[in-house]
Amino acid sequence: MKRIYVREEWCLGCRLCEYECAYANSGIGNIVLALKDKEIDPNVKVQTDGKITFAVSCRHCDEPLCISACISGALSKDETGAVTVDRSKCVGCGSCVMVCPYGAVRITKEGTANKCQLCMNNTFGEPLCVKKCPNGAIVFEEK
Amino acid sequence: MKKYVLIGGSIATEGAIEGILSVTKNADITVICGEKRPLYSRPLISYALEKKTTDDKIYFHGEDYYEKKGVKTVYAEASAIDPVKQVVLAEGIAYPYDELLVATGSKPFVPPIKGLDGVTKKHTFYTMDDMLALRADLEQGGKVLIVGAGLIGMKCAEGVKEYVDEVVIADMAPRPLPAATTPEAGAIVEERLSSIVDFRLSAALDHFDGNKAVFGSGEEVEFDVLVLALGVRPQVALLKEIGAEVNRGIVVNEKMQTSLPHIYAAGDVVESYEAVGENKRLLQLFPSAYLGGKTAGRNMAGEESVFLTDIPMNATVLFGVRITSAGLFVGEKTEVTLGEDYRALYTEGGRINGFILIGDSARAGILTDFIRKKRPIGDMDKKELLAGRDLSIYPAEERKAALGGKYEI
Repeated sequence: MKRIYVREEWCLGCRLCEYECAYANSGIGNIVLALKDKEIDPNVKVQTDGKITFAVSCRHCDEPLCISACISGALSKDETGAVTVDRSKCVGCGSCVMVCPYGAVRITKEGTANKCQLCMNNTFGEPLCVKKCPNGAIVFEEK
Repeated sequence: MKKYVLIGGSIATEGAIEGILSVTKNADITVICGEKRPLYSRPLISYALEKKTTDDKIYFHGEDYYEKKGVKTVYAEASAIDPVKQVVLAEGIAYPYDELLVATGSKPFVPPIKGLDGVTKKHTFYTMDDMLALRADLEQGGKVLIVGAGLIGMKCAEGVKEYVDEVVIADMAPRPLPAATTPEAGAIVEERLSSIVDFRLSAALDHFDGNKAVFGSGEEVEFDVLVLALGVRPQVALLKEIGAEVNRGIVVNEKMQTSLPHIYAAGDVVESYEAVGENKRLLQLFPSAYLGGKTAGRNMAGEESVFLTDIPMNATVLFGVRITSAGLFVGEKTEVTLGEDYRALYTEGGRINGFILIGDSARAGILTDFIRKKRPIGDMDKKELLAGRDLSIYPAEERKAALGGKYEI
């Protein structure tokens, strides 16, 4: 399947991916209206080990621990292999957060789980973090 | 076509179906469900009681899902496994198998208590039918006594509060969640919840006198509805009767095979190999049941698969208080308090044995991974590990490979 991969040596740490992600998943058609004066809670987060920066989002694992721990059936794999979340089913127990070794699933302030769904659940249909990364540090490809 | 018979109505069976079908589509699968409903998630019953989810959302799939996959479901109690490789139902019908999974789960433990027969409205809280019966009584209001302040009792209390104002929770232990928390964390939970529920701790139940519980201290609690949440016991009878090796639960190897040929077991009914303490014990956890079931299914279908690293873990929210833990609470303790949040890490010999977090649990899975894989923590600051874990704590080469798609952590 096509997945998001990070070429960390190219990451500038600019966090544009975080803003593009928040915009892509806002449901608002204008980036200014979507983000102005708002605290963002994106599905991709730029992290650093002090020397280098890298953008972390769901790996869409072959054997996802988050799905094995999900008591509500909110997390599942779709036909493409992407790990998706049905927030209407989620009860917010946080079992997915307890097991994801990437720290890539979170409970939002609404009290339910959220994570990267490769922008397949929004109008963009392709990962906006990848499309807008100015340095090609995030790619979307089949490996 | 190979015949698979799976006994059990929850997540271990669901995992086994997925395991078998991931190896072969050419499988004759029959599920025998003692509960008269399709496979569902038992932990969701408290959320359904609490109206945080609806009764129809407890099922793993819609009813037609299994039919479409060619999985037959029989709603009946299995009464025996006979030597000619078949499962016999109470009504005498037999289902022959080539490979069998026993995922019979647990049953609530109800000890003999003097006067229990005289209690008019009494419940356990383990199955959907238990929940529906309790709800019917709760809809008439009144005062509720829950005996047992473990996870089942506490989650039940949260649901019960949706219907009635007065809830008393009694336990012999000195704190709520005695098995799933530490004394420090349990004390915080007790303090935060004591304005919502009426705790009676270190209270040993002696007997019932009609709808009144009498404790060893002489204290009396009157109630209208009683819930007994005193733990569960694995339902091992089917396998014990035919001579399978059984300790507290069914003994299985890393392929989830029992001591008898062509018979596998998974879920609450088995003893797991617990990787931190390195011993066999009952874990009875949802992820373990799913992964154990899946491993069994794959092996039953002829693909070698092992389930090695199982550890205790729990994530829940009780009346708004989030509690997340993994591993064992033994070794050197490091504690951090951040505003309302309490976090403790337990380490030994340069490795993490366990953690417990009250409040924010963001990226806790990274600590869980350290426990599961016995990763060395080197000279990492333990308070830092509790405060700000992210991918930067993995070795740089491993992280780079994982993000670059050459490897999964």
